[in-house]
Amino acid sequence: MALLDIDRLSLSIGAQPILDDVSLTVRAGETVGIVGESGSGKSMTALSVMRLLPAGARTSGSIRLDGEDLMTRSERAMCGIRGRKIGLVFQEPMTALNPVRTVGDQIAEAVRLHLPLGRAAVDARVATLLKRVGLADQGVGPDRYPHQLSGGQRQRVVIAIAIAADPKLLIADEPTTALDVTVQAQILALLRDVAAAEGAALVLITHDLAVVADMADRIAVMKDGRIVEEAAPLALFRAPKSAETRRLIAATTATPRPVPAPKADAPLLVEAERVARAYPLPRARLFGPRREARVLDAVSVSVRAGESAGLVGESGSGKSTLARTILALDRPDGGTVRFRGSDLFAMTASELRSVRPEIQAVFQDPYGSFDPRHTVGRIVGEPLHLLGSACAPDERRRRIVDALDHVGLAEADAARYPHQFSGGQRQRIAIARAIVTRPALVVADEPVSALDVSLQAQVLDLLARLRLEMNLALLFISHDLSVVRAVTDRVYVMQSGSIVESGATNAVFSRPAHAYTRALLDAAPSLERALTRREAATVD
Amino acid sequence: MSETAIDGVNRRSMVARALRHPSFLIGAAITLTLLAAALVSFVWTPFPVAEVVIRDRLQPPNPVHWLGTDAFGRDIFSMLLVGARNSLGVAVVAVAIGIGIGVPLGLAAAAEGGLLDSILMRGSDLVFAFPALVTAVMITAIFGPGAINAMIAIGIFNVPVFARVTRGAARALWGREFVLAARVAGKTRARITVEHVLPNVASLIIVQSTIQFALAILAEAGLSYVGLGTQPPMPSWGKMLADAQTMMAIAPWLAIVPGLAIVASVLGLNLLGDGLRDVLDPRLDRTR
Repeated sequence: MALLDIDRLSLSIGAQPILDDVSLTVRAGETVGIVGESGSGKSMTALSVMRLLPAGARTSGSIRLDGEDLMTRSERAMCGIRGRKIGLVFQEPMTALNPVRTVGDQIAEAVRLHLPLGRAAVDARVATLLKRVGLADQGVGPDRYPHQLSGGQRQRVVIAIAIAADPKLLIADEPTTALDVTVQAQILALLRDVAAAEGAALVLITHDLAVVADMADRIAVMKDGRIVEEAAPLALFRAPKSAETRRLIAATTATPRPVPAPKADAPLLVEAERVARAYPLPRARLFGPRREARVLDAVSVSVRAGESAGLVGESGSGKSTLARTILALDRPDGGTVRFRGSDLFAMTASELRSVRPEIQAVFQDPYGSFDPRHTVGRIVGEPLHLLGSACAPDERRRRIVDALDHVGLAEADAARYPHQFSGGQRQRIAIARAIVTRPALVVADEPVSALDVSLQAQVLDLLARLRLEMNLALLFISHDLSVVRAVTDRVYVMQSGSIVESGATNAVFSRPAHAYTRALLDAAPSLERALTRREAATVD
Repeated sequence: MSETAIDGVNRRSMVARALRHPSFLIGAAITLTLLAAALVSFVWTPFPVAEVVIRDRLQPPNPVHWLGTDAFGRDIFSMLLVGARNSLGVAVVAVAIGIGIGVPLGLAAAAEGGLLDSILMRGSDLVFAFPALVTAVMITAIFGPGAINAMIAIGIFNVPVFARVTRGAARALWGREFVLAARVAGKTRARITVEHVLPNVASLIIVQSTIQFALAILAEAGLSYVGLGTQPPMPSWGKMLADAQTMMAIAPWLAIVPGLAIVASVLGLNLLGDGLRDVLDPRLDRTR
């Protein structure tokens, strides 16, 4: 008998249908992946199992765990099932932990709630769990607070809480989306390991095909609240039956149109030379020595006209700080940034204004980068004031329409507000704003990280097209190696404020010289690699 | 879709939200009544407000004097109307002083940061360190009692409140990507403040205003109660309460009427503030 049996589950919230006739079984000890784009119903399926749905949700169908119907259980009975029989691992390890309580406390609470143990036994169980999730080996004791831990360590604590009462089913909802690639690999390995050791079934919810291809025994693909296909990884990815699966695979493996690399003698646009930046930290003691965090340590990068240069590194490596320095938003503590040969930070305000139209930016968050009170036309036209009187109202209007047209939006969209657009369209609006002054360089800071894969592919292709049409140079900043590989000619690899390796993208990715680059490449999930490994395993 | 249509949808949803919000409706009704009373008092009161008719003194509420008369035979209802005018007048000016000085200071502190920010915020700490009403008493004691000095005294204490609220919200906005984008677009700090920051903190300032307004009415009543606010023969709610104190046993309505007026207006403004917060906050639209 299946451990978890979801039968014809439908869910609607208000008038909005969310899930439609979802049936899925999970056998004991098995790992089942659920993939799909945002809004496909992945998370809602998990929340239905936990009966943690938002107010106003109406469900039909049945959910059985070990033969017990969860849909008819009282809220009180569900409290005994959540944590005891089903463990949940959340996406955001920072918000999933209580910041004012020690991790030992929080794990102990999960143990005490479900297991009838004495104080000493609880403490022993906490110690075992900390060891089990690898925190003991990292020197993390039960007396630490969440803010003292890294993102990966916090996620280990969340996993320890999830397995505290030996549940038979673990549900992990995008458990590694908020983590860096090298940490992601470790956490996925830990999840697999823990599930196997405890004999628990694992339901892994993710948007990342490579992750499920690597981890799952069986994969369900969701779209618009339905399961459109369900199969073992090799069958699913080698012989996809549904259009949605094919679309997801195509988007994951899509490469944007090729852009010829610029000539070697193309003029240098931006040269950042030995840029340094440090933030002061609070003193350790009242009269202790001043302390500072070095965010950039003598970093030198350059971008030629028409070139696409990539900057990869994990969170906290200083990528965004460097971007802000090159955009002349933050003054560096040392070093220079020259644009077409003149030092940005030696310029007067009016000289800087004359350079600004040439360097524009696209930011990560498609929700946060627009003033919610402005229309799209006003947003896109914002940089045009830099052109001053050269840009009369007629010309202004023409430029805005032209920029919108370039990114595939209509003139009528200028009158709408950003919240009326989807995430992918918003990133097009952000790009339209960046190209409205016809810049020579666009600094794109994680421009596709917040988008679903199919939208990522479209936005990357749009950037490639704009480079062809406008001879645009790009400084492309990302933590995602496959994306950087697809769109850049040259790449800089950054680690804790320093460039550790740079060179032609193909050369660096195929023959990484630095250990850190190798570690990044090894850790990056790859659909093809996962499938090849599985095929090799079946042959053996 | 045209711009006006989109705009219309937004406005309509805000109005619809307002019309469904009980505390907004009650608060707005009370506040409008208060405002109407104050405005009516300019053109009409049942009796001249300073007219002393000893013969009619201490009448309980009756068909001629709807809310009775005080120890000098003055009509309480007339005094209540004119008192509303005084309370509102003092509160309006006091809140205007707070917004007029506090909001620009808060915006500047958030935009410039650094030394200016430190000086402004430590300055507001200093003002906060003095109990507001006691200092208002001190100011009016030094510069003389009267409505004008009461306005200034209460207004001074509104300045740091608005400066703090504005700075906090504005600083959060300065970290947002759309402000970063405006900086990439080469806009000056002053221009970003006017175009992006101020419109996005406006709703917060409006909500805070209603709360400060209620506090200012209370403060004016307090100052008048101790004789430092509005001066006789002009009536004010605080003064009416003070006069009624010795006659609680024989003429309780003298204390109950202005007391209720103060409570109702403070309650009404607070409800209005709570309601406005929900009505102006577009996030509620999304969660529903």
